[in-house]
Parts: sequence; C-alpha cells; structure tokens
Amino acid sequence: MSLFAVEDLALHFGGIRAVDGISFDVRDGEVFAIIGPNGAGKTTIFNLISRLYQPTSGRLIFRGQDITRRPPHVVASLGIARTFQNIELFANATLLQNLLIGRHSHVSASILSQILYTPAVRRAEIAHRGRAEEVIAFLGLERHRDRLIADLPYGIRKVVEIGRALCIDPRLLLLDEPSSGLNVEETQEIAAWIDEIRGTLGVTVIMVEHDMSLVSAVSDRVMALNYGRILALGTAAEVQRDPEVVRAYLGG
Amino acid sequence: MLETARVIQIILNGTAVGCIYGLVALGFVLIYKTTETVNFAQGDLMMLGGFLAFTLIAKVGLDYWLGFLLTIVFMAAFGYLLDALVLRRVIGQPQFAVFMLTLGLGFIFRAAAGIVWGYDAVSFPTPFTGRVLDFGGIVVSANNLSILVGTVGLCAVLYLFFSRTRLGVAMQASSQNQLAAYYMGIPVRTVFSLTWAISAAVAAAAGVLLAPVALVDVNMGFLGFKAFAAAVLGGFGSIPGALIGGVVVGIVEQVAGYSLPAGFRDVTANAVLLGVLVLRPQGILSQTMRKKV
Amino acid sequence: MRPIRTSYAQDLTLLPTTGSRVRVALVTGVALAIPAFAGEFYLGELAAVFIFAIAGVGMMLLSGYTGLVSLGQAAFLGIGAYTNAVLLARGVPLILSLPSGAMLAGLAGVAIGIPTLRMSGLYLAIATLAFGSIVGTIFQKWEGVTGGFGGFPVVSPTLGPLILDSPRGLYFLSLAMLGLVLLVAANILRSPLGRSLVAIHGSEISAQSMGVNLAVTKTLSFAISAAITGLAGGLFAHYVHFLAPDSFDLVLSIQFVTMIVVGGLGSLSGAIYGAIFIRLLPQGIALLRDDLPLGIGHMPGLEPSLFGLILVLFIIFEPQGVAGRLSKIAHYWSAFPLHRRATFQRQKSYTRSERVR
Repeated sequence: MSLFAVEDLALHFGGIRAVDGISFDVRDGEVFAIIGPNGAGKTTIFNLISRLYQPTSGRLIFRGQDITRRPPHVVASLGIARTFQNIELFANATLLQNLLIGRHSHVSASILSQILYTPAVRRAEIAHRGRAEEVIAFLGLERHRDRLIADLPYGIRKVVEIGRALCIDPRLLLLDEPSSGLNVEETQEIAAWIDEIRGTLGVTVIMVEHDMSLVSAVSDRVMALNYGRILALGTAAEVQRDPEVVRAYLGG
Repeated sequence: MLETARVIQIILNGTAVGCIYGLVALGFVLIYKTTETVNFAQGDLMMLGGFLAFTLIAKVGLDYWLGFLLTIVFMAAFGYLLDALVLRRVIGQPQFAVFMLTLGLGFIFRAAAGIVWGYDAVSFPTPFTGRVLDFGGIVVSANNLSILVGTVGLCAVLYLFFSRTRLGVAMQASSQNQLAAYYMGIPVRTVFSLTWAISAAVAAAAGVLLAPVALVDVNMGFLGFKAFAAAVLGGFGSIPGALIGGVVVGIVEQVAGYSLPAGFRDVTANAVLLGVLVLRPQGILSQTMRKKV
Repeated sequence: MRPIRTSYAQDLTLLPTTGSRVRVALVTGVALAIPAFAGEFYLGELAAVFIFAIAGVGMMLLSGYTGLVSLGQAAFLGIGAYTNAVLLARGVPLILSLPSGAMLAGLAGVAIGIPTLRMSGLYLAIATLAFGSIVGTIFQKWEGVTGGFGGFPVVSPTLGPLILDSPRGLYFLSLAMLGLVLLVAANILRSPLGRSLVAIHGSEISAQSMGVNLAVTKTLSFAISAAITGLAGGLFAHYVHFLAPDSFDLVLSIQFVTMIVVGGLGSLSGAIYGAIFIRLLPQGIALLRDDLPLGIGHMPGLEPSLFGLILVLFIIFEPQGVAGRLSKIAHYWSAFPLHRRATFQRQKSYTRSERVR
C-alpha cells in the first residue's frame, strides 16, 4: 500500500531543471533510498517534500492527502520528519531541548496557558519529556542528555538529529545522507538504527545516501537519479547493475 | 519656466546631498561585502574625517588640496588599524555582536571628537566657498558642484582599483568566498583591514566634501543612518547601487522638504527604507542567497 | 551543585535548588527592605533600574532568545509611555491605562513583526531602526495628542496605598511589575513557546521542519517583547513625569541593546544586571566626578564614551556579559581546584555566513 506518492514533480530555477518530472511512490513500512551523483537533485526532492521549496509543477500525496500547498510546519505535524545533510540542530540548546522541539507539533496548549504555566501545561510537558526520554533510551544518548549540542562530537550530533526527527512520532522519516562524515563503525550503527526504526517503530524511511554498502544493507528499493531525472528504480542489486546508472557514476 | 527651474534646482541639491549619502553607503557596502560586518560607525568616520581636515586646513593652515589628501591618508591608516586591532578580535562571533561593537565604537568616536574638537560646529575655507555658478537661472553653488565632481572622481578611482589591480581583484574574490580566497593564497585578514582602510578613506572624503555645506560637528555621523536607506535601496551589495540609492534618497528628501510640512523631511529616508524592505526584504539588488540544506 | 533528579517534574520547576530559592528570597527581601532606610532620590533611581530591567526582559526575549535584533525598542517604550499618560490625563484609571499602553505597544510589535518576517540580521536591524525613527517623528508631530515638542505632563495617580507621584510608590509598583514580568518570561522559556523561540534562533529552516510556525512565532515574539517594553514605558512615564518626544530616540534603543549585551545575552538575570549597569553608571560617574584627576570627570561626553567603551570591551572580552562571567566564576569555585580553562571555550567558526540563510 502506498504511504506517499510523488506525481510528476518538477522544480526549475530559471533555465535549470533541478528536478524534472519525477514520479515514484513509497510503500508503507519500506526503506526507500535515493542515490545519484552530486547535483542529481536528491536533496532538492527532500526540500520539496518538506515544503522548503515550492515545486514548479507536480503533486505530493501523503496518506491520500495532497500536501503540495501545505506550509512546512503543517507537513511536519502531518507526520513527515526529516534530518539535514549538514546537521541543522539548535547549537546553543541542550540535547534534551533539541529533542523536545521535535515534540512541537504535538503541543496543544494555548499561548496564554503556557504563560500562566497551568497544571495542564505542566502535565503535557512531563508527557513530552517522557517521550523524549524514550527516544534517548532508544538511541542510547543518556550520557549526553544535558550537554549543549555545540559541545558534542559530530557523530553524536548526527544521531541526535535522527532522535529529534523521531520525537515528531513520524509516519515518514526523510534521512538526508545519514552516514556522511561518519566512520565505518558509526555507519554500521546507523544501519542498525534504520532497521530498528522501520522494524520496531514501524516508520517508513526515505533516505538520500552515497554509501552503497549502507544502501544495500537497509533499503528495500533504490531510485537512482541524474540531472533531475530517474535513471532506474528497483532493488539495490538491480539498480547497481543498470547500465545507465553505471554510466552516470563512471562518467561515460 | 520658473517651476521647471525650481524642480531642477531641487533635484540638483538633492543629488549633491545624495552623493554624500552614497559615499557613506559605499563604505557600508564595501565593508559588508568583504567582511559581512555592518559598520554602524561609518558616519562617525566621516565626522572624524571632517574634523581632521578642519585641523589640517583651518588650524595648521595647510593648502586645501594637501589637507584633503592628508586627511584621506590618515583616515585610511586609522581604518586599517581599527580592523587590525579591534575588529579582528571578534571574527567568528555572531553578526549581532559585531553590530554592537561598531555601535560602541561610534559612541567612542563621537565622545573623543567632542573632547578633542569640542561640541561647536566648525568649518574651514575651501577654494569653492561662496562661489556660485549660474546656468541660465539655475544656481549651483561651487560647493555642491565639488561634491558631484568629487564623488564621480572617487568612484572612477575605486572602479579602476577593483577591476584593474591585483589587490582589487583579490578583495573582490575574498568578498565572494572567504575560504576559497584563503586557499588561493589571498591574505584574507590583510584584505579585511585594507577594506576598512578604503571605507574609512571614502568616509573621510565624504566628510571633507560635506564640510563646507553642512559644517562639521560631533553629531554629523547620524547622517550615516540615512545612508543605510541608500545602501538598502542599492541592495547592500553593489557599489553603483549604493550611489544610485544615495542620490534617490537625497532627491526624495529634498522633494519632501519642499512639499511636506517642516520636520517630515528627516523621516522620508526611513519611510522609503521601510517601504523598500517590506516589498523586497533583501533589498532591490539582492545579495542574499538561500541557505542550502 | 545540581541535586540528583528523581522526576521529570523537577526539571520544570523554576527554582530547582535550595541555593537558587535562597538567592531569590534574599534578593526579594532586600528589595522590599530598601525603602525602609533609603532616601527618596535613591528609591527613584532604583525604580528606574526596575523599569529598565522590565524593558530589558522584553528585549531579551526578542534578541537574546529568538535572535531577532531590534534597534527600535525605544518606540515601544514611547508608545507605552504616551498611551498611559494620555489615557490618565483623560481620566482613565491607572489599572486600565497601564495595560492599555502595553497592549498598544504589543500591537505595534505585530505591526513591525509581520512586514519584517522574512528579514533577519542586518536588514531587520535597519528596518526596526527606521520604524523607531518613524514612531519618534509621530510623537513629535501628532501634537493634538502628544503635545509635540511642548511635551506632555504625566498625571501620577494614587493606586490603593501607592502614591505614584512619589518615588516610593513607583518603587513598589515597578518592583511588583518586574516580578510579574520575570515570572511570565520564565514561564514562556520553560514552555513549548520558549523552546520554539530558541529553535528559531538556532535554525529557522529546521525549526519549521519540526513543526514550528515561523510566521506566528516570530510575530508573537515581537508582540510579547513590545508589550513588555510598553509596560516599562507606562512606568517610565511616572519616573520622568514629563514626556518629551526626543527622549524615545535611537540613543535610547541603543542603550537597551547595550543593556542586554553587557548583562548577558540569553539569560533573564542578564537583563537585570544590564539595567543595574546602565542606570547606575551615570550615578557612579556623578559621584566620582570631583575626585577624578586632571578634570576628567568634568569632560563633556564622558558618559556616552564610557558606555561605548564598556560595550566594546564586553563584546571583545566577555561576549556572554555579566551573567556569563558570573556563571564562569560560579563554575570555577564549584570545580575548585580542578577548573580547566577550556571548559567554556567554543570552537570559532570563521566561515560563518549569515548572508546565506
């Protein structure tokens, strides 16, 4: 069953076709990887899905609902969470505060009740804290809970970003290059978490990734892009054998 | 006929004042482009230039042109040292901190000028003082004309510097991409200091040109806030933009002074500024790119 | 020292440690005891410290936490002051006029917040500066209401036992309002709204991808900041007794900025330290004026130059302000003798570019 569908999506910057008529759909519970050379339009697709960019044409359908015109914060509250290629954490806040921001779309208290800090707000805050702590336990971040992001090493920050996205309780998680900048062990850890996120939490994952070993290890289907167009779509093995993909990577 | 002459007169006066705004705005833009810092003390550098010229010309008794030249040289050195000794220390701090630093510097300059030169407005003789040119009913004071000529001349020199000299090109490169420029062997820190030197020199020139028209006093630097409007109009990134912005603000102000009740003139620059920012939050000629994520 | 935590609720408490409770109780006790022995003049000056601290809290929420620079805070203070004074002159009771000033300032905050939504950094600073100067001109020109350059005398009524005409009355009212504003600000900071403010400061893009409505939250930040500053303005009217339009100018806005930078960006106590600094420095200079050598004390322009100098020194040597310095000293003693110089060092980023956003 399709959880998320992209129909004929395009984004043109002036004469440049960053994304040029792409359609695919992502099934509920699968790990869907997007690969391609630099500048192929992978991250641009993420930015279109999380509505940071306005598509030139095409539609985005999430759980049967057209989200093409929804603002970014609404997309988040519908259950689409994401991470960023170059880590966009709140550097001067603690790890815990970062995770709690992920709970923002579940906040229902009015501004006035927050200013008064009513007992209801306090109870809700304790519940959000509980959820954040579950994520902390899930990712094994207990030691760093109260540390500022600015003080944490890169590898940990990468994990924190995944944690923050998980705090949204997403149905769909977009991971933008989860392994970039990580060493082999850390990458294996990421692979294990992606498996658990899908298996234990039941979250569907779309990831942009360069590391083919990670892609092969965790993804059900792979989509290869170049110049904003789809080159191939299938299992990791199929896509890696595809002559068009080979040519794009080897620069034929 | 009289009406047309009047209009031309207003436009000419506006252009002269606008050139000064443009020159101060130019200083903002140069520093912003290269170092991403906004120098809120730019107007105060102009004030210091005016006072320095007063000392050299009226007190020491130097020839106007020699005094002009020395003022520019001294202020350039001052700008260089300002960056090398003070601003270099805050590289890497948030933009906000650097704004506040230059605001604080402005306070210090104003107070220092008050202590050295006092709080009365001063002036000095120029070769143009009192001379008036009459173009068939349209009267142009030689002072205003000197501002126009001086501005055009200064811009020509800057244009040649940035497009023809190695140093100028290196400075342009640093403003495009600091890191890349650094890797290419451009001494970025020296380039920063030189940018400050040039900006201070341009501000000083503006101060000397403005002195016979508006007198020099400690609060002359507040004119710098109007030059913001000019810089924003010009997009805060282009040198011709700053000048055009300056002239536009100057003319709008003159027209407002002529057609609106007294006291509203000083607010027109800000009204224009706010209007432009609301319509185009990044200025007319945008230098801002979207952050890549 | 931080106690061992046993429940999540503990982290939500405003004053979690015995030490912090004792400190707040002590400060409150001293503040309540001062009027017993201090003269009227000093009470008036302390009231001014409280009023500036209120404005400082307002600015801290906007600039210190949300990261939105405003060089137009004096306009909000002025709107609060004029609204309060004009309403009082027309017979409206203080209990309505003071909040009305805050409300109107808050609306002005929305008015500048919405058009500047897409601006940040430099452009926002310039836009708020322009806004401040335009509002200042309105104070001068709307003579029918504000009295223009002739000024506007402030009626100071009696509020229960408080005679606002006296520094003593103003002292207690300002102290109470400061307490209230601090409570509101602290509540905001520990609730989801406060987190979203900090998130916007950190990264607008990721804040919205986490479900934060940027437009609403930024406008709200402006509105709350402006309303708090407007409240300070209403009290300020009773401190100065006579409103002159040029007292709400750029120089005052810059004083507010100096206040929060010197006090310490990103901390509520910083707003208070900053207010103490900015109000008491002129008093200190006045006291020392005759004792300084070489007639330095009598030089005109001494005060602004000292403000400028201190601002510059803080930004270069202690960007986290008095609050930051105090927390470092506290850490030094709590870790004594194992203090490491590197504890508070942060990596500098030289390629930071705020042009790209």
